Amino acid sequence: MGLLRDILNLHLVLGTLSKATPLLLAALGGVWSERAGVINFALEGMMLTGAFAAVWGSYVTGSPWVGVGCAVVAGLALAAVHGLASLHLRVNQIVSAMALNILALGATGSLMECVFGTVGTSPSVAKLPSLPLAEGRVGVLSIVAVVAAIGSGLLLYRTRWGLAVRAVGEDPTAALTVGARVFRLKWACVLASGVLAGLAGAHISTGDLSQFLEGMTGGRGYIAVAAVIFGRWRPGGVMLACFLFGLADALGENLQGVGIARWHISPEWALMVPFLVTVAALAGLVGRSVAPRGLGETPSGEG
Amino acid sequence: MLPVDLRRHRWWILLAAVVAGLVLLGPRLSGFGGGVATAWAHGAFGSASSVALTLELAGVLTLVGLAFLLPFQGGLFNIGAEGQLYAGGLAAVLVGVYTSLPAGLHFGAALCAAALAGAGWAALAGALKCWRGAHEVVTTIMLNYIAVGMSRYLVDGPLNAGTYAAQTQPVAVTAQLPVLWSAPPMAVDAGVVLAGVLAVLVALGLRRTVWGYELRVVGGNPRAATEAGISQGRAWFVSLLLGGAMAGLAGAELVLGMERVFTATLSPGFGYDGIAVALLAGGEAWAVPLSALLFASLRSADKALQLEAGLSPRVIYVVQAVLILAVAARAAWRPHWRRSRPIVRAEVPWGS
Repeated sequence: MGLLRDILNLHLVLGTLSKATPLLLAALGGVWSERAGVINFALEGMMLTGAFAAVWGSYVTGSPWVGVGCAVVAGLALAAVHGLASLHLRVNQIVSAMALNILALGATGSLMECVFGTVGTSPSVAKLPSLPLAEGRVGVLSIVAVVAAIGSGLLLYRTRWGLAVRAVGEDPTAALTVGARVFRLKWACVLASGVLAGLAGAHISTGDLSQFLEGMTGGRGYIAVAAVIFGRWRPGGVMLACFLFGLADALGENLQGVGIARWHISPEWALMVPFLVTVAALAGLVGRSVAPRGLGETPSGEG
Repeated sequence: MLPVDLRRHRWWILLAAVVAGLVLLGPRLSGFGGGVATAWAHGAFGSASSVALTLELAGVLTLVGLAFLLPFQGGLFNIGAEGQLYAGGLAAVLVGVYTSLPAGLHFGAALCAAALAGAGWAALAGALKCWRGAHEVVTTIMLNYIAVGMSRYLVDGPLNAGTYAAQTQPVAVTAQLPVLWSAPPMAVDAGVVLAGVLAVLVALGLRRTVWGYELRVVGGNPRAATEAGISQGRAWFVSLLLGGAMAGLAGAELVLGMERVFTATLSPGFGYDGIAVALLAGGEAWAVPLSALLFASLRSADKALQLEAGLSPRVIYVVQAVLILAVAARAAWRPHWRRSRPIVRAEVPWGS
């Protein structure tokens, strides 16, 4: 089957890894935040801000590593606002997240005009290095993502600290009575999600491409949220979910290249593949996944 | 364990927020303040045609605001107004271009089709929520991307008017909304009145009907609703259907009133503006048109703000975000003895 060979090849495997990387990093952030009981729909905004900051850092200093640092700081800043709003100001966590996503879209768009003097697209900057694998290359943040997934699994399920986080997410009051520092743990997890989502953004803008495009995350933050649910809030499951969604993304891109010529598939349909797969995954979720019980609650009392 | 008592330091925090905002807008500070206000007033209300544009946009934003507000009363987040708007616009153009009906009936039929299409698109998310437990924020956003993608496909291919522009044929004159006040090149049409009437109807429906009461109980206290024998699933599903119909009508207003054609860039994110409109209205349907008028004036003044005050049109999103957070956090700013419990609790049933 020549057709299949055009689509299913090494290119697809590496494409899947590259497309899954930002999803995995952001979704791990979602796992940490939500296991501690804080809904995080702000991943989209954190990624977008991270993507912008990475390009800005790389543009100013010429080093993509400084860009990664900036992306982490940007993710942290948004996470701090989300933590402040949802943990201390009793703002509904979904409302806070939607506000942050809107803020990220507006702030990156208008800052781009101020900083780069361009509209919609930034100038090209230095890219993050990638390592050779087989006949292709693997971005350095892809490796970071896989290591982070394994590390998150160990931290969450094999340490006392991870146990405390899970307890806080299930029942903050009970965790409080056995001496867990509820607010401190929730804050740490929300900030961790900002770091991871910032890294995800850095991969999109300086790992995969070498510039910032307005609104370039294009809904990937929400797909990451879907991956958290689909992976049942466990790092291992979330990793598999991200590879599935990454595969859909890469397939869509391959289809765009090959499908138009061979099958007369219009590019619009190919671009819709990841969104269709996400809806189908959530619709077909067998046995339904169970969220941490304390998710979305505003903690009260002393912690 | 709060490291600091935020309430005691609220004025410092507010000051920090203002300073942060000024830093963000720093490079644009020259001639700030007066320049922005006059550009805003001038752009939104400076001429007859800009007043007409502001009113038209207020009609559209009222409808998308109601599209968010209705399910929100039941504790659901309908982020899908954008996709529902495209579904409605598409249905309106199909009826407006490919059918011929007498003058009085044609635009009515197109409006009905748009409401049904918007409700149908929202029903997908509703069905996934009620029967599969899929979170509505994720599904509605995915459905937005799918709706826009399908619109792009349709205007490029099957529905293309045969010109180089990616748009459909213009709707028939009989399908256009009746013009109430003409201010060339703009006009205020019956859609604005329809939006106002629907806002009043929704306000009455939520306050004065059993259905509205049940929906608010489901949103305020799901456990009490279950104890009282109120069907959570039905209340949710109906609220999403009605919300989707509102967004569908917004799409019809754009197609039958303002644009006369359907394009894949019909809405520059009006559906997302609806979130800010509804939240700024404090969840009260009667206040939605006022809040919509505010955001419509920002949208219609965007060119003036850019040319006269040097503000990027994207700043509107920053304004929206700050307003949403400020309104949502207002419970925390109130002195504790005057604080009442929030009307809509953040009890979001995930998955189960």
